Amino acid sequence: MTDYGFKIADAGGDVKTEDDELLYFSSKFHSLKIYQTGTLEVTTNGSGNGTTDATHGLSFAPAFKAYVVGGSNYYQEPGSCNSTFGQYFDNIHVYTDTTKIYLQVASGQASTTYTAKYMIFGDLAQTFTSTSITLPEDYGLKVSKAGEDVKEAELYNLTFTSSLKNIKFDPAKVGSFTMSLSGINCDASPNTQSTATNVAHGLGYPPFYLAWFKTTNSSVYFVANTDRITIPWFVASSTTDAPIWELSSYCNATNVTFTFAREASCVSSGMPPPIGSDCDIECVNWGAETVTVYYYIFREDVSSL
Amino acid sequence: MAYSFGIKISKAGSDVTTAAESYLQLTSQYPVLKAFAYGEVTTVAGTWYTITHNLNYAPAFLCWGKAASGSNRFAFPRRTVGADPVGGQQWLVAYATTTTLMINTAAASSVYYYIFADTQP
Repeated sequence: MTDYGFKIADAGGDVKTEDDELLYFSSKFHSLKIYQTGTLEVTTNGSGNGTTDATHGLSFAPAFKAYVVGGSNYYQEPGSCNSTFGQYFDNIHVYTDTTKIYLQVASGQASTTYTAKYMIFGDLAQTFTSTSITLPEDYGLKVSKAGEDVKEAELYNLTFTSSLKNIKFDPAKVGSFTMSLSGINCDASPNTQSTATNVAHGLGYPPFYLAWFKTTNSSVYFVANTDRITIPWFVASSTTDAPIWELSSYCNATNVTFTFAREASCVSSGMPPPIGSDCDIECVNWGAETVTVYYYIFREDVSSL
Repeated sequence: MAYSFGIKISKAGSDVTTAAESYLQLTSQYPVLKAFAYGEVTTVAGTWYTITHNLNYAPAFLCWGKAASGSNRFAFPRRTVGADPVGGQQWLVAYATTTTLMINTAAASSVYYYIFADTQP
């Protein structure tokens, strides 16, 4: 427990006694500080490949988040399947190193322009103890980690600095909900099913958000029914590696939309199928399943990054 | 701003008494994520790495990973269809329980994590 710094409670809360998790701010805890935002845009060549980058100059690989722009929708987590059995985003990659952030399209659509919005934090995504950048500042407030001289501390050792904006969320836009699908087997026609939930945020712009899920289906890869996994996620067919179970999401100026989809797959092995079935040994059936989604919607406008 | 008390700090050049929210570096009207624990761990390909937090609730978390053989850092989750042509990481996945953060990577990796004191609601 640190004995210096400052903390903020919610209206009506006693800042002296409030539980840490309920505090609006506490300099005891490191906060993510927005260091740089921007747009990465690349037009692919005839093979569907292309790369572009932007310099951050932090000298360490920073924490970051990125969104792929698809019309008025913004899709989290490039490099992951994040759609429902169709338009994937796993061939669009955003990554950082110690000097830059990159947008790379690998085997995408030929001669097509891809756009990603990014937010780089002045916070580490690697162990680092050397000199980083110095922020210009002649006024304001900053708090260093315990053991660090606030006057000399590197940016990444500041739990807070008023030189950079913190990402902030609205407690009224933090919540959870469930989505359910009935059982489906591989002889069904169609053999896919999905359900979507819109979380109306009322912000008027596509917001930064984070989300996790848990499921009642213990057969979904590694998942126990208490585990909270980051969205998007999918389970792949053992034969084609294509998604057969997906939880995807995107945001726009009205909603954050979550879609839960499954495909009961049927893959021929070349052997005659059992009587009464169109499938043989590679038949994947799904039982009734409920997923619970947990989300934080923040106040930051992704479209203006 | 609805509140008549609190603290707010504006960007350089903006009047804090009139600045729009997008020009505020901090406002006590809204909470921020508070990192309870953070650091870097080294994973073995396809093997779960356990970080114990003992918060007694499933916390919000964020992770980034880099294959030991590479130099590029990717955000979690990451899951490509087929082999990853860019980062050598067909998957980067993590989940939280009430006591642990569990991390799994397709390739041996360095993973930097933030576990927040803020609960998954």
